[in-house]
Amino acid sequence: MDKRPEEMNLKEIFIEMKDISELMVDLAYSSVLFDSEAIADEVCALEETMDELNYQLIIRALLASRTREDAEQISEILNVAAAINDISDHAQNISEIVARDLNIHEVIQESLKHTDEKIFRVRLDEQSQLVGMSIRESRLASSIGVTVIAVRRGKRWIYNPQKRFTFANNDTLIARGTEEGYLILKEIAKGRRGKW
Amino acid sequence: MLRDIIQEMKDTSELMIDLAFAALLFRDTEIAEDVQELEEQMDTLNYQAKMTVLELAQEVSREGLLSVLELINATENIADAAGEIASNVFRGEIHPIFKEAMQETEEVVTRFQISEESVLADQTLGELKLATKTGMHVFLVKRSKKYIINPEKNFRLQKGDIIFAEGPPEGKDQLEDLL
Repeated sequence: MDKRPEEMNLKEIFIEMKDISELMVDLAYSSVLFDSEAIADEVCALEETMDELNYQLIIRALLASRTREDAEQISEILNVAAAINDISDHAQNISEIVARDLNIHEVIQESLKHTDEKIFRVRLDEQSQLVGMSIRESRLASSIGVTVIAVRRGKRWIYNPQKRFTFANNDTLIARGTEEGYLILKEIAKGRRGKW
Repeated sequence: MLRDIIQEMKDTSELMIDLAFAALLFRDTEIAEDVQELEEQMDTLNYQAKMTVLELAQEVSREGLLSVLELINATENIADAAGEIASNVFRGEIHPIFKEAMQETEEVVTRFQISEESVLADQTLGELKLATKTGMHVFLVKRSKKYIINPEKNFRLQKGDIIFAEGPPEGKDQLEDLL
């Protein structure tokens, strides 16, 4: 997020809310899949950002409606935003499983391995073409259908890495995509595949 | 099996979100009705999952079963939120800002028709590998008046089909180039 919520307009806030809620859902399932407290903490932090965005959205919406028609149209944006905010709340409930230190039943991890969209983890080898490449250059999303949602570099986590983010040797990528996408990424990460 | 039920609940909830945004973006009440039907399927899955958890609780250790209940609840609630989004279609027009915003999100929803000359016609979704080649995931196909939700890999596209897909904006451009 480049701007603070109070500097954004209605459209920008809505876009941010939708993107963050989708990121939160992916991260929430990841936190359970990998039993990661660090990821669960990030979901919790994003939830606070969501609350602030939602508040700013309501203020913008109130200021923007001058006529009854305006108000009716904007009320639907508010409805949708409220549902998006709900989704982020429920994502947080998923990550609470980890945050509250509940025992994660193995059936959860098994089922998450069989969904249409999977979340997976790969580590970059030195020989991988991705090392030194930015997310924009890698075109992973549009070439193999894989979205990187988080990167672990040493002890540091980078969530929702931006297009200019550059991969480094030994980075652990948490990504979302199809089974085929995962198999391709695994080959790329090991340096066994140079083109995609 | 519990594993399959949880997997289906997650897949259905995510499908419902894609459908809900498509319904609203393209002002399509039939898609919104499909979302409502899926919501009922989710309710059934939710009961099945909880019954299975209760049975497991009697037979084996209760260890870990709370995590399953929490996950099921959250997934069901996410599906309900998708239903909420879709239900706005039955009200009036939505503000133009919504359509603009939906073009600028990290994941976008798009729809287009397969033309006569399109290379996509007469090919199965499995052969096309759109997900790994463009990052776009086809979640709905409209064929004349019929809606095919979440078409399988062996689904063969025909000219005239309208396909609805979701993915990164660059993927949307690539998909348009394919046509």
